[in-house]
Amino acid sequence: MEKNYWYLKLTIITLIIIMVFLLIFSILKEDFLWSFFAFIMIFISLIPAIIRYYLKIKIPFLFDIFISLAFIFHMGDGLLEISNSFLMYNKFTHFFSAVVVAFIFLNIIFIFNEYYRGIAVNNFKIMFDVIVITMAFGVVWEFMEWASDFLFNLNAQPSLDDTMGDLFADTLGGLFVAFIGFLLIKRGILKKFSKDFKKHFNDLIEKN
Amino acid sequence: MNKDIIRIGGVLLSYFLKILMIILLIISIANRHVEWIFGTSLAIIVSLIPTILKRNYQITLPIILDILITTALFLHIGGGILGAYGIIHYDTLTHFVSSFLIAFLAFVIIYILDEYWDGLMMDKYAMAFVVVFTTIAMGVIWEFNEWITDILFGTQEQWGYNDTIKDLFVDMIAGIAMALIGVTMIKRGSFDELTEDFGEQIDKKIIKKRMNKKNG
Repeated sequence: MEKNYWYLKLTIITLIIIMVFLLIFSILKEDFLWSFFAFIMIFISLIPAIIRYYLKIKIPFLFDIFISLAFIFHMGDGLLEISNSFLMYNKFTHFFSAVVVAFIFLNIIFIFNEYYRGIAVNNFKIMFDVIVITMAFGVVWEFMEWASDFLFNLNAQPSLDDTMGDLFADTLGGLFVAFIGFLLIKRGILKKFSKDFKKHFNDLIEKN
Repeated sequence: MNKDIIRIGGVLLSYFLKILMIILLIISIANRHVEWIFGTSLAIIVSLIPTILKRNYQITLPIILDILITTALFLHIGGGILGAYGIIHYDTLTHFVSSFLIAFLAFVIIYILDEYWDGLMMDKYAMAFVVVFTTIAMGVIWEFNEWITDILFGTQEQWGYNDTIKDLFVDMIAGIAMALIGVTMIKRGSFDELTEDFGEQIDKKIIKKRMNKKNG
């Protein structure tokens, strides 16, 4: 019998509701740029659910929770300006987002490594890939902040030190997940976590 | 025949650049620029690594790698000694060449491991993907290095926020350019030709040796 995981589903719904509240708050605050960002963030948070529903691919519920949490933390920074009171809050949001990106890519690389014949790499290569991908995503995020400052005068990047601090937090996030990921792979936990994907890959191969 | 001509041309170009670096060393000695005397000497030694590897260890690096290493070093020290960093976009050019070198090196390493080592098997598009991200990540590490140097020694390696973002952007473009070139070369079989000697030597000297050791 398949597990229901009602507690995870309830958590996801709660997080989405919080994001909707923050979207409403941004509209009331007449911060329409953040309303737009909040809308995009809600949509991205719903992507795992959309894939699950329409493509019947069993993406772990933990993905939804991590993605939603990362966006809520960022909204807390941009909308509620928490980092004005807690200086390290901005670095924490970067670290957490980096952990989420690293975790998603750890799973993707592991799944391809396990179930797709075109890729076979050892555990250290997986760790290396997770770290460089996370660092690169940090750079892409900085590009976005630069572009938003340039286009909308947001002051998302107050200084060079802030940018370097963000990139450092991203790197730490990548290193953290690579280390944890290594243990998860060694102990077989990641294999259990992603076992549903074996069927998806088999279906895909049979179709082609 | 054609391959030999390209190789000889490449070797000549590499030596030409090395001679220019020696001239730059003489200029820095004449100007008593201690920092650049040290920097140029180090650059000349590093640019000779491909020659040393070939002579002492019979490892032949692809000639393009030799040229890229020498060009990147020449542009950097030339920029410093002759004041070329003042020229508009010169810094962008040096960043691009250095990042392209890193991307090329990453592509060669991954390709050789894929070809000769059982521990790695990758699709060419996956290789391109990893090369782009590795190049960007190395760019970040370079920026960390500059940032920490500025904090510790009060230097001005990083020129400002916009300049850093531009550097990272150039690193990304170099990575993407190499990824596209690499995939095209693999499809045409020319990447295999380019790395054949190096790959076989790595296989013989490192991979098989380690396998034999492991198997007792």
